[in-house]
Amino acid sequence: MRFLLRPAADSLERARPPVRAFLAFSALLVVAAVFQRGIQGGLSPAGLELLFADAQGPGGALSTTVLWEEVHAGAFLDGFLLLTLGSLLAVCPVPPRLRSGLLGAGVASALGDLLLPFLAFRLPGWAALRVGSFALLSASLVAFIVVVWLTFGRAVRRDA
Amino acid sequence: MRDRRLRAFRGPMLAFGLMLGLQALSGAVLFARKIGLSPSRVQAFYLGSEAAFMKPRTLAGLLEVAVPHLLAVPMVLFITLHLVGFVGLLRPRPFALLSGAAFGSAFAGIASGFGVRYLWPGLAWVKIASFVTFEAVLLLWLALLAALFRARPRSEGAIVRDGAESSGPGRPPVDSAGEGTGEQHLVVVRDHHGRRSEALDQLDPLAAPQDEGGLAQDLSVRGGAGEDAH
Repeated sequence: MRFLLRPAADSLERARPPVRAFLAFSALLVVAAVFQRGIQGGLSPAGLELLFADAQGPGGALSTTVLWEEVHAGAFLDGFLLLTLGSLLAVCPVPPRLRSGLLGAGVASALGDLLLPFLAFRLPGWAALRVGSFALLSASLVAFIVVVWLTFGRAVRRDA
Repeated sequence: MRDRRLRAFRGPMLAFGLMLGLQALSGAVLFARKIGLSPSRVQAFYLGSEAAFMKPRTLAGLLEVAVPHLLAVPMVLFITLHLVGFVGLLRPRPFALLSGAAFGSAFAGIASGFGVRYLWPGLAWVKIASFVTFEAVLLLWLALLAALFRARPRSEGAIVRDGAESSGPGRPPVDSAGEGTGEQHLVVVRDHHGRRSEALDQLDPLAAPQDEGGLAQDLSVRGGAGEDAH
């Protein structure tokens, strides 16, 4: 945390290799998550509706416990990634609008991805919204990674 | 912002706090639904119940839940405590007590599941008590995290800028006006005994890169050289 709060050029330069290693693993995580979601059939509205229909019980009710489990695990992952990538981006020489835009997109899409399943079959178009949320979340995390990779340690940010 | 060096990290911290809140909420819902909030339900969950057609938990099943929690819970607590502790929002003793309560209840919560299954069913009370304590302490830490964005400096190592001591609640008068200019201002440091010391400092710490000694080292030096107010 010290090098983030005192972002002198030399300390950022020293921090760049481990930061880039972390970014590489984050990128792998995003790619793996997209593949995992794709294998489950969750990358298209029709596939997602089918997936949730299969998960319905005999009475047609969806087990919300499973959904809460997804929220529990997903919130940890999303929160940790958004904090880490957002903190790294905070010391990168990028326009504040880009910084806040990426973070806003990440948070909104993460909330959509985690909470929209609770509205399954109750809100028209929920499946398309969830697929869109996941796509936006993945895209914003990739954008975070690319921007931090390219700009971290380039210059000391002065517009805090 | 309580410490303006954290201002740039406001967004990521808010995102983290939001997700932490979701984790606490989902954890509470899952505990209530899957395990239950009465000792008999906790015992049935771990030891099995013929009436409910539930098998006893296996060691593999217990570890499947315990292992990710042994990573995730300490990490979340470490990050949260790190952020709150950095700006000295709490005095050392309450900080240590709350930290101990958070880590202790987390450990007790994880361990007591094994205890109920393999040692003594009466530990179901410990499982419930530790979970309730952990959730309560987590909410308290969340509130402290939120307080970083608005509270005035008060405790050990906190920085009070020139004029802030008598200006009442709100932001110190020089903080926004001189932002990022590198001007020098009077910095007043108080430790938890009320000892006061003063020094001229750059208003914008980002504008004047210093050595790697860190905030704690800076403040300990200044605090040590300060006069006693009593």
